[in-house]
Amino acid sequence: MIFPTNKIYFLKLFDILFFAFFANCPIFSQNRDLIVTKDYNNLAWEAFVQKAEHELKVKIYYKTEEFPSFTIQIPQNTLLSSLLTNHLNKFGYQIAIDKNNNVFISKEPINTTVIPGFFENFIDDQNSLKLENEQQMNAEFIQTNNEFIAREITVGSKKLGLNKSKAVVSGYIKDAITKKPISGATIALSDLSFGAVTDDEGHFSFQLDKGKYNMTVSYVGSKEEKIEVSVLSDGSFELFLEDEAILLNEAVISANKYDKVKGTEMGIEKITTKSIKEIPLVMGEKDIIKVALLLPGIQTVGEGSSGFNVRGSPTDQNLFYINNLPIYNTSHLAGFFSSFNSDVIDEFTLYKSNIPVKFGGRLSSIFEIKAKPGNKERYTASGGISPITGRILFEGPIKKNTSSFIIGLRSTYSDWLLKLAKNPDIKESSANFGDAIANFTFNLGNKNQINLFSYYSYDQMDLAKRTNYNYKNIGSSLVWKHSFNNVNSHDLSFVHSIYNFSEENKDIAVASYTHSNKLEHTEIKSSFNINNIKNHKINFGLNSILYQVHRGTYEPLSLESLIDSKDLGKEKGIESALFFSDEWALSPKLSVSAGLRYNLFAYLGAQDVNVYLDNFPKTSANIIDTLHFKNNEIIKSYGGLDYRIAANYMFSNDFSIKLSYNRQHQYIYMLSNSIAISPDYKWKLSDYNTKPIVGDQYAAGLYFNTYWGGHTYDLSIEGYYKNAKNIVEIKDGANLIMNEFSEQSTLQGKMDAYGVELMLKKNTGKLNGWFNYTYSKTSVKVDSEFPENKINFGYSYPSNYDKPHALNLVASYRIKRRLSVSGNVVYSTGRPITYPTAIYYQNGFKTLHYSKRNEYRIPDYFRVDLSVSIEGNLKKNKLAHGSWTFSVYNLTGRNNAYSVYFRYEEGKINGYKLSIFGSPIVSLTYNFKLGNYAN
Amino acid sequence: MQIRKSGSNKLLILFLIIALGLGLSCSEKYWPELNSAYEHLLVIDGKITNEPGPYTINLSTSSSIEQNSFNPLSNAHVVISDDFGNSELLLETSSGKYQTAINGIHGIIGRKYKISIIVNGKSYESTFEELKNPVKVEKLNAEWVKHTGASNEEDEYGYQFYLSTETANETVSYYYWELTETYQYTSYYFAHSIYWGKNLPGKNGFEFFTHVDTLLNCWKTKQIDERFTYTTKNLKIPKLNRFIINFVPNSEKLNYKYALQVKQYTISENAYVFLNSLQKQNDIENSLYTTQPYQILGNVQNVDDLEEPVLGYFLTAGVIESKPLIVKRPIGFNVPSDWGECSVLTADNLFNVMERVQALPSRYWPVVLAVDPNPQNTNPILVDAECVDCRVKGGVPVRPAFWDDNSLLNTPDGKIK
Repeated sequence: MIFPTNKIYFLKLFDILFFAFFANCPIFSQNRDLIVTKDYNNLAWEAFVQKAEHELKVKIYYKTEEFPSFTIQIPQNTLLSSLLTNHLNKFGYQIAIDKNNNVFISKEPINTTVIPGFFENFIDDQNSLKLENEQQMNAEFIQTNNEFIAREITVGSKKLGLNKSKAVVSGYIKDAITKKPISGATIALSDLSFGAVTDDEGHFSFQLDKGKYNMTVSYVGSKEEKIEVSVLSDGSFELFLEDEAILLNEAVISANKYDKVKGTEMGIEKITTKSIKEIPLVMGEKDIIKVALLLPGIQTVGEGSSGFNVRGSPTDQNLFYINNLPIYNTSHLAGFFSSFNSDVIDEFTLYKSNIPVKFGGRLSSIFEIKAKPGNKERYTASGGISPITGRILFEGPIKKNTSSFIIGLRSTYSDWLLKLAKNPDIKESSANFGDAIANFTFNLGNKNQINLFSYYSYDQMDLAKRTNYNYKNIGSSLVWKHSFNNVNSHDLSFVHSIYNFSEENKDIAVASYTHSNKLEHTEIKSSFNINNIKNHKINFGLNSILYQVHRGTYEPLSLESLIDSKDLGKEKGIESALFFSDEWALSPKLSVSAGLRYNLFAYLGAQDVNVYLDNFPKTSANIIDTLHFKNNEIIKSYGGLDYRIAANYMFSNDFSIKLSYNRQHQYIYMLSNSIAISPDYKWKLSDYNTKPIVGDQYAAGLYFNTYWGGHTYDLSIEGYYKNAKNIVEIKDGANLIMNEFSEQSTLQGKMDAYGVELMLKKNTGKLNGWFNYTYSKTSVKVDSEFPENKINFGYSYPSNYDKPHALNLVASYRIKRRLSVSGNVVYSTGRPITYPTAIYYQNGFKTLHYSKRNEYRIPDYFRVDLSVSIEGNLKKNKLAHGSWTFSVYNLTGRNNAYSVYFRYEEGKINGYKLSIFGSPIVSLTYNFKLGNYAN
Repeated sequence: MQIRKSGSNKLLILFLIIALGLGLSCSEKYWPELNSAYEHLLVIDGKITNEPGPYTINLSTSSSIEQNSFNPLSNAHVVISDDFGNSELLLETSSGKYQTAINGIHGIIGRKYKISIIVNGKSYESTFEELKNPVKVEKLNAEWVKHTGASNEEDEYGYQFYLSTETANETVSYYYWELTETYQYTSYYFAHSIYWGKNLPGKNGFEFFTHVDTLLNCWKTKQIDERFTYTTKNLKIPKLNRFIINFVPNSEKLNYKYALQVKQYTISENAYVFLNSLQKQNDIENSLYTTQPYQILGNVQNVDDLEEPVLGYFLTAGVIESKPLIVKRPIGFNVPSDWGECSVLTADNLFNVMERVQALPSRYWPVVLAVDPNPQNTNPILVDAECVDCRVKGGVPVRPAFWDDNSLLNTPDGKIK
């Protein structure tokens, strides 16, 4: 066991011990001594400490900072105290050993007798940890090749390895404290200049000749482990890595522990919810989607609009998965908040390019969210309250150490805010939302794991009793993970997700109506990971999705209403895919990955479809035939091949260059004609008249890790160029309500986007966070020989979310153990807008004439946020731990424009700038959990 | 069916409500820099209907928003023609105003019409559009209603007008309505005379009124400044019932009686799309749009350059005018008249006001004199013209034919909704 030396911990200890209490007690006492054998000769100091602590059952306390570096010279067995004195007196250190075998090394005078038991708490903790790991590791301390190796692991047995020269070594790398798998940890075999990186489950495997190897396991933010591995036959082991900093001083915004330099993955952002705890957000709601907006290449039309735009793509090109379950509406309250309760979320990964081949169906990004697994050891609860929501979470074992559950509930009580308003329209309005997440994990032996996950979210908005919107997501996923020989694995998942939207509109009594539509996504997926081929990581499988879209029904809402009831019918489609990818380490420096995904989309009956005159605008006048299809008859099928090609060349362990090329197909899109996405959008499948969307992305990047002042900095620069064809744009002025033939209201066009993203990240230390700058452009072009099939006269126009310059700074500073301050600085170019540019008279009316689409921009956006977090006391034994977060959103109160609008006033037209959050928003959030700070 | 306030707008409002409810959001004046490329675009404004001519086409050019001016366009060659080969050249009767002859072309239901314009060497033409059979107005009625006021505002009372059409022959009809209101108002003083100076020889330049109330009562008729469009698409039967068309808030307009007259145009789908788009995009209440605004172009194009934005529309429509609906305010909702500054400028018995007026330089002509309400004073008094002559506020002192003092054509129930 490696002794969990922690500088800061010791400094604290010394502060208290020597300066506060005993600074004037120059007593040197020696209670007991131990004999050190010749085995310790030639050990480096750190190695000596580890070995001595392990074998002699001592604890050695010293300030790791400024400690001299030397090797132990010990020609013969000697006493520990004299050994240390001999080696350390020349550096001015004094040595003290107490009756508990604690060894103190300090330049200050030491007294070990005054507070018996002072250290016991710490020592107990460490010993228990140590024991646990010892059992799992079966570790030994040895010395090899002049380089200290902490322990040896034997893989397999001689018996199993008989008559074989090669063996497959696999295993898991996990966090020593949370016991959660670490993905992206590097396992390097120094003798072979060869290594592997753990996957999402913390799993690794490779094939080796039998023999002894020196293995270094490392991961950003964790202590590096050096072990010797004796490979006798196929086998596996688990290794636990400790955080570099212990919990009390954890890195607060250690956004991304994933090492960007290694692997062929690009355009990937990985963030744990633990790490975003102190980022200040609106109303103090911790929200992963709002955090995602602080990452490079992620934009949104404006504050409070739902969804986001990744590298210049429209929002419907993002796919959100939470534990394999797709979510089709990710926002609460029309976009104020996201529908994911971050208390129950462990981490999220956003793939902006080079999307793994097991994912498909969206051009721009995959937002993969992992829910927390429940605590397998004990029952616990936590929760919180903010001005908008209350949250509660329960978790615990179903069967101890084997199965667990976690249930998180969140609900708003924001109506009280509306009731405060004087305006009766507001008073009569209401807005409610809530969500629930349940996650059950069952371990069936070592090789099988079953995960059952359910999700529910709802929104109810009632505007002055005139219009109300209701929408909900509901779904479940069942995943069976099976591992073969601890090396290869298979995931089988069944998923069913429903999105339901309904609206009641009483604006005009004679035209009052109720409308509802629904999307069902049913998916089965089988995915194999093959890792026992040396230098290869192979993933292959297949999936199939059945989409059932109830396009909408319209019913009159009252007897007065003249609206005719109408059912737009149901459409069905099956999207199936076969996929295969291989990441191949050609050499320690060069690795490439390639993948293929063949998609087949079949649009199914029963339906009647219009056939339009070839190459003519799709208008009712150009319908030449109507085809009738029976149930499940294929109306139209589209096949498409997705490519993924990527390469990584590592100049060194800390510097690499990567290139990638991707092609994607998308068979479902959003019908919405508002600028900011509002919930009254609908999903629509590619059909007989609307082609699938196809997109390519080329990306290149440089990645660096640098070490400075004892901290790691990640620096990356990524550039991309994207294009897509057949993206669906709504015709000017088209009405999507009760629209039977959406092909008559939509046009398909091209999209172009390019950009450069610069990201600098500091993951550790009292001050941590990130800074990024993005330059990007995105434009859309819808052209045709027919004027009615053009948008903006066929000229390309900037997308609504095209914001060329974007800059985000997110930083957190821990002032004291229990007190930290965090802040954001956000800047971006104003979004494009269409302004009225001329006035004319039509039939006596003054009429405004507008510019070309998105010809202008609203003023630039700038915001500063700040939050202060105070943790409750750090006592070890207490029932519950509480924390307060005080946050200010838009600290400077700048009136950032959401929109610019114009109105007639006394015969004159005045322009106005509308700000959603035109003043600082102060909020206070309280969180609690059972147990102490650390758990 | 077009929903007059689109759903997405409402969301933004909801969204603002939340922000407003917390006092977070705000609006402040802002004027962006706009380029001038969209000024001086050709604007066509006119129609042909089944009503007898002459038909008027107004040609103008667009102006910048700051200038906000009407710029008539003269010297154009304007021709209206039908699909039977008939055509007529319009004459420019005043600057930018082109008219057919009194005995000239007459719109016939079922025929198609188009316009051709040549101006500044460029040639413009519209597509043929059919003159639709007009659908009749079945009923126009009104109810006294209460609109709950916004924050810091009082509740608002007024007349809500509703329109019902007859059942159309066609399954889908597209409507456009022009609304005209007529109301009565009075001036404060009886008129004594108007001094016209040398413009009126004889009687020393004075025009005397034998009836003191000659200029007291005026009736003002004007078009309501809001577009109304609707379609029977998506309705079970092609008939509108109680379609909400206009709200008249309680004001001085209702001090006497108030009449509303509706012209119901049955138009083509294309014209409907144009007018409905203008309505939605220019609706003041809806100025917080979240839908993408765009250039709305009409049915006239530059023959040689299809990309030249040409504004306005040449409308072909079947039209029926409703009988005026006259309403009277229920008792108990009186609004005091606001006379403004009707103070007497020269209430002086000691000298002759008329002599003084005659001495005024010509730039003050005509000068309106009122009868002094004080019967002791036989001399007229000088007050602001609008306090004496009701015509100054835009009305005419002529009772419209349909204005009946004794009986209202339609008596609304007067109950408050």
